[in-house]
Amino acid sequence: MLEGTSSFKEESIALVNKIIRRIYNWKFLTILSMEINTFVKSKKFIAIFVIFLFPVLVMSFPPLENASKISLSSFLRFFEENTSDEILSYWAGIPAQVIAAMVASEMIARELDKETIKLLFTKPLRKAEIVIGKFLAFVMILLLVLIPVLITYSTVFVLTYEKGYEELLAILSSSFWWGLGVILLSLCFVGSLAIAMSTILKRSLYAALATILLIIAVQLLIVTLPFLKNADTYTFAYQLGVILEEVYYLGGSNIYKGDPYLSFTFFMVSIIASLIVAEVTLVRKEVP
Amino acid sequence: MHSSSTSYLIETFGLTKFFGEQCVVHNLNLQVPSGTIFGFLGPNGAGKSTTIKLILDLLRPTFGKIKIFGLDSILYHREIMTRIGYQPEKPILYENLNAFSFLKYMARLYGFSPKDAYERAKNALEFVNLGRKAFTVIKNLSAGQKQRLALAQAIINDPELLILDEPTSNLDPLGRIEIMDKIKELVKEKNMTVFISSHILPEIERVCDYVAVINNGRLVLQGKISDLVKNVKDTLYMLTVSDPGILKPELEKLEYVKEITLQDNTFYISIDIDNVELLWKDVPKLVSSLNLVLREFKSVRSPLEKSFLDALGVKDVGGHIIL
Repeated sequence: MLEGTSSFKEESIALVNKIIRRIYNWKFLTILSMEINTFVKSKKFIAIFVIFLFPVLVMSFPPLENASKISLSSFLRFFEENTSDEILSYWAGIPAQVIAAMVASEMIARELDKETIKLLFTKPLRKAEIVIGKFLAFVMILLLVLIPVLITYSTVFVLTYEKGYEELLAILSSSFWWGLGVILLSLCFVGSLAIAMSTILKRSLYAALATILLIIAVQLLIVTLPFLKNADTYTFAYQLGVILEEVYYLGGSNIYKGDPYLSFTFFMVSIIASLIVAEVTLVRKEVP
Repeated sequence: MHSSSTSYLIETFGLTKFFGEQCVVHNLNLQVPSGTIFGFLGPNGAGKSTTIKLILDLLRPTFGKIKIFGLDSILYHREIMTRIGYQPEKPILYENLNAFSFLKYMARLYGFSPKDAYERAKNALEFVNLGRKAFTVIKNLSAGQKQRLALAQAIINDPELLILDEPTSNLDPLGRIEIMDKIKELVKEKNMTVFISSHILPEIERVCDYVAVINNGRLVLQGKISDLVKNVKDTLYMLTVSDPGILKPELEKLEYVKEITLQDNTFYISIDIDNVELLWKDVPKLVSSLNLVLREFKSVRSPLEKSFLDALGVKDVGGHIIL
């Protein structure tokens, strides 16, 4: 009996050790942690945090009569209606997209520009590990910025209308995550495109500009296509609206018509496709 | 860990690289034996760094293939890289990190656990005498310290094959000697094979046992130094006396002297290597008989230098070899 227990214990320890060794071999985690470490220690982190916090700093909330008397669900709807504008026009809109493109494009372009990519290419790493490590670092950086910003925003919103802990908790347990998800989806789409661009264009600034120009150009092109019915519904912001409206109350008149799951799939496929392009470009890349 | 069934750690087969229309490496058949310090020599722009980048898969060959540890360099890139250490020509470092964090990061990229990475970073820093600079931000290190740090990152995984591209190019003479001694120590202690490119011939001669010479992308010489110098037939001596004009006709009378050049009041005397002893006997006698003052009399070229110049087809007229 004791022998059996001891053997089980040894096997368990061996299994845990094996798993730990396997995790050490996930080198994208090393790249990810290095990127986050470097970014958090840089001044850019503070600058980006302030830029994302900007709506909270300058926001003027619309009047809400009998704010203290309205029900929790009505307050949640009011929150969603007001927050959706901030999400679609700022946190997932052009200002944030520009920031996201700049942050993401720098991750690989910087390595190419400073030639440190030679150090990575001469290590036992898959090119995919470099791309995944960088992309996940970008996602983590976004989360590190967005979560405190959105918590601050929600808190300020609740306090402005003299609401309390219950309302804040309700926001943080439902609307908060969907809003965060939509912002993340939008910025990851831009970020993945910027990462792909940065493997082609050496300078991060060029890659960021090319990403933004590409997004704007494609949207402009779509709305001018004569054979496309309701062309304006194919724009970036509209599709984000479709996803946001799945959970958010945006006035009750179903402004954004479309299938949110289809929109979500489009964004996810685009992200994966961009990352594959980045990986293939790195595989084919020569570093003279 | 340090075992290989192949006799050559690096073998290239008809390796050719074009940049546009320019052929930078032409039909290179390089063979680097295991357990040696292999010097890869050539003038600037000869194709040394390009060859190294081809070996490391940083560049792709236009034609030909490369085998490292008997494995195809492209197909088995990751497996090969676990066993290789590389120091680029110019120290490439993450300038905003401190030396210790940088080395830990490099070790982690080889898949070492955080604890192992810590130990390896510590040992590598101590090996290159940078222990006291461990927490200095890299951008604040001197050029020599950066070069040593670059060497430390190249040996962090205890590689079987260490590839060093001009490892002493940014260093002063003292720093060069120090780095080359470290390389010798590595080979002795850890049984590494070192592939070292340089255009500084005496440096290579001091540490290497095998050499290959590349010029205009073509391999012009390859082999064991002891074998190469056997083929050297003649050597060059320099002689400075108080009045060279009087001595010249007398030197010309010596039958075994092949060629005499007078440059800046210094004679460069080319003789057959078998007649070195004769020259050593005759020159002091002549100088003494003509009542001249002997200021300098020494061999200008080591046998390897001579072999190198012969391979490049350069006529030796004394002076320093500028590659």
